[in-house]
Amino acid sequence: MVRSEISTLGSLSRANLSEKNRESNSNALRDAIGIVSPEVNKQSEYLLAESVENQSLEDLIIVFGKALIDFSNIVKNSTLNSLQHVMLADEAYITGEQHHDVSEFELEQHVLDQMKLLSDQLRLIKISMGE
Amino acid sequence: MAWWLENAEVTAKRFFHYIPMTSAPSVEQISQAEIDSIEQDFTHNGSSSSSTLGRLLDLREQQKESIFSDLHLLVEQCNNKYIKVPKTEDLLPDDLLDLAEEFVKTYHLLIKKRS
Repeated sequence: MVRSEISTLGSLSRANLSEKNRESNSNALRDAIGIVSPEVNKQSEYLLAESVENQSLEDLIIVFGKALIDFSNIVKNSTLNSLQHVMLADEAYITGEQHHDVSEFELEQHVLDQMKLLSDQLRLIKISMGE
Repeated sequence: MAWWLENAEVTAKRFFHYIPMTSAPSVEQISQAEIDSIEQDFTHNGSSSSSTLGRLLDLREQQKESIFSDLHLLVEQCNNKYIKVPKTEDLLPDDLLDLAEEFVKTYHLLIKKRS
């Protein structure tokens, strides 16, 4: 098992770990995965359903506010999702076991779609402000 | 983070509390009813005072801070002598980080426009 480039384990190498330390690392990872996993599946409903063209500053601020909350939730959920992937890979490395959940972290399609919508919305806001 | 801070002080890293977070985002009680009320008022009555516009931005910022406070708590529970949570820049793809920069640029423009 090759160690991932990104890891939660600092500079530790499995080969240098005692059996006891390996178990402690593995237990710590399992606990942390247990903390993160329930949160990964919590998906907030998006506030912005479509990008809209606005002229007034009031409307621009309403739309920006909604976009900001959508994006903050995306950053939070994606961070936790990615962290979970890293820790599962670390656990597999430490234990030397194959783990069926270990895979490269990728943003889900609905996240990519919402990011595209948010990016378009920011562009429209800038155009409305003459940028 | 407050909307009246100078542009130069607000970076995507700071605005979105990248890991490692220097401190926990401060959280205030957010009133969704107040947000809804201001938004409805904007929609029905058109123009509003600069202070009301600032208030709506403040409320949305507080909501954002609350989201990152939750994240901070979870990350702190994971960090220990065996585990160090990687940096946000290592966890998230470049497209997401680039969009974070765009949000901060747009935020700066809105602040400039409303003042």
